[in-house]
Amino acid sequence: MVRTIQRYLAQIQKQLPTGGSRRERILSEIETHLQESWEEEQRRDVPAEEALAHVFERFGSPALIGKQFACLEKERQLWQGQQCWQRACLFLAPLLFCYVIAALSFLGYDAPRQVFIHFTNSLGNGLATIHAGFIGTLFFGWLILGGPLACAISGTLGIITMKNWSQLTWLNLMWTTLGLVFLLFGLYTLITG
Amino acid sequence: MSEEEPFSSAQLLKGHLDLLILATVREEPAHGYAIIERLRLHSGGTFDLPEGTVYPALHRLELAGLLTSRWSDEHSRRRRIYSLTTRGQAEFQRGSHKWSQFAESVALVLFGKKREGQAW
Repeated sequence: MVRTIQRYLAQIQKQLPTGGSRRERILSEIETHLQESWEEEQRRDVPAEEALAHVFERFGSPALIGKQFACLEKERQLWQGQQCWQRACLFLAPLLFCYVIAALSFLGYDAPRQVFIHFTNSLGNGLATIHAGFIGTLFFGWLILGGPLACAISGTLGIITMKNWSQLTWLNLMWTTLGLVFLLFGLYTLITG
Repeated sequence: MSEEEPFSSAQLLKGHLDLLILATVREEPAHGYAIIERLRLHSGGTFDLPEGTVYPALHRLELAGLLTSRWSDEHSRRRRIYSLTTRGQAEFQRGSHKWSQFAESVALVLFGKKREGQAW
């Protein structure tokens, strides 16, 4: 009987494109389900062979189920690709944005030497602009990635492991606070010259 | 052409399975087998769907961030336990509200008016 279950699982496995832990997880879940269901049938005094036939009938076509998982895997790959882009944008775009603004703030100077001469004067101004942009971009990323829905502190670890990415809020709040500190420093530098 | 009856429970269930799973898991975290049993029990046997279709749905909901899962080795059997995330909770609220409005509208068309004491 166990062999019959294994044959059924092998039919599902044929359709699964993934290897490793994901495939193992799917098959393990289904195997537990089939065994549990089979035992339940037998408790109702259904003969073992007949019980197993009922279990397979209720579970559905292995080829069809395998195909559903295969489609899901394609979705997963697409989703992970999007996630990579979103992450890249979230972490790199603010930096890029800040440095573009910093570069623009020096455009008024006609020679690299003068940039160094006037660097002290423009430092505060530059910092303020950079960090205002930094905070704005992070806030935008926070909204786009569903930050308002997240509310657990444990979310940060989830974001890093990609298990609970929606809880980006706390990470972004941390970054925003850091940005605010720099902004205040920038303003202080601007005022004191 | 499909041989399935156009208004069979299985046909009507299509598109609502995700919401029903969220509702089932919302009660208490559960593994696949228990979720299917609860669905069957709570629907009075109406939602007796092919059990295998629930697993891809569970994985899809997890991928969407509405469910989260972990292994459990209780009762000497390794099971994957699913529970609702904060997003899943919010999505359930939104989905059940939409369903309530939809069901009310269908009832209005089918029966002409909202039935007395109808609780959706």
